[in-house]
Amino acid sequence: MSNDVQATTPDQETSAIRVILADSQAIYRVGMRKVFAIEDDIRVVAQAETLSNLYAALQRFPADIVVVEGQLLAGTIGAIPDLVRRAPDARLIVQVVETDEANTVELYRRGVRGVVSRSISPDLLIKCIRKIAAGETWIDNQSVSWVIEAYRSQAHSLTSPRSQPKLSPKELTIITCITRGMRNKEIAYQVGTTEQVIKNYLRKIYDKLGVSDRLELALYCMHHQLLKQYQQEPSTPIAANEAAVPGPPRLRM
Amino acid sequence: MTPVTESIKMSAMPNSLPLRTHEAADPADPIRTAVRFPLHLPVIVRTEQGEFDAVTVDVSSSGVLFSMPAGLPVGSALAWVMRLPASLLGTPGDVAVECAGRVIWSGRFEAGSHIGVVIDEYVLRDEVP
Repeated sequence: MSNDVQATTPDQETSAIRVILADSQAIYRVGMRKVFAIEDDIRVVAQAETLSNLYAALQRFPADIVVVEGQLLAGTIGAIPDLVRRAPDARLIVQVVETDEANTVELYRRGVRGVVSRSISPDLLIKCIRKIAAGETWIDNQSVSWVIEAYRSQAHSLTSPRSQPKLSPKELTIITCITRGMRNKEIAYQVGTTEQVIKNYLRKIYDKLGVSDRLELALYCMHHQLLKQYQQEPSTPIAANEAAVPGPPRLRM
Repeated sequence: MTPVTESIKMSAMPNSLPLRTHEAADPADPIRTAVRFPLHLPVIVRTEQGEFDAVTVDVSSSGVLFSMPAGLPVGSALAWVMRLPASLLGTPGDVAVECAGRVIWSGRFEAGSHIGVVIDEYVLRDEVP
């Protein structure tokens, strides 16, 4: 067995909460192990010192909870979605040195189930692990306010008529096609490019407007009369691309 | 970090509803964060019990709140088509959003009933004349 990923206890009990510890500092890993060792319903199945070690650990050892040091994730935007993808059944707890609103909101948005301080007390950490293993989300009062405020701001920015980002002619053309029910392949043909390019544009459009899918995009366009606004400008490319194309298949009810 | 009191059980809140939970919500569903657009569109809702007139109160990409004369049982499967007018959308023709979903909440009020519906599937369809 590699020294990088340490399996700690044999897989004997199936009812205990299986935990993977990911922390760059050995003293934290040792400390947490000692804390969990005296609990008969929590079992540390592996430890990892780096993010890549953690990926390896997730592959080898099924886990219910992953306690990961925030610093291990720093600078790696896709780390959490990556972890969630690699271990969809494992719930993430991130330990941070200090909390800030943007970071906390983003962590919860990306799928983390708990954000705790590095200085959390042992009892509270154990309670946190048990609650999260039971299916709950661990979130303190301040973070609840941040998350709700972020949700309100997002809703406000999507429904507010004032804040609308600038869209390029190509983006507007693609939005028109999407709201008409065209598939990516059809749009690519219409626009004269590849499907991958259309997907890239879509991702950018979704990010710009803060929408998450085609229906939300259509609703956004209707609510803000987005395409109408741009059509009022002379020689918009949208008018030039309104050639009739076959629509999408009907939904079978 | 502010002291943690108790963890909060973040059970699913159907996003098409006003901000309140309901026992019929499925706690296994993840938290929905789709934005609700206040759109009032007349629709015909097709269920196993028949067809009913309804009006949307608000619409999101994952659910709809309908206002209708009578409620529907929670769990009922239903289908409906929302027509997004070309005059507002800026497209050559209306766009039909064909939806299939389930009732997850139903409440009775003086003026009628509100039902919260989750959208399981949808298709956007151009209705160029």
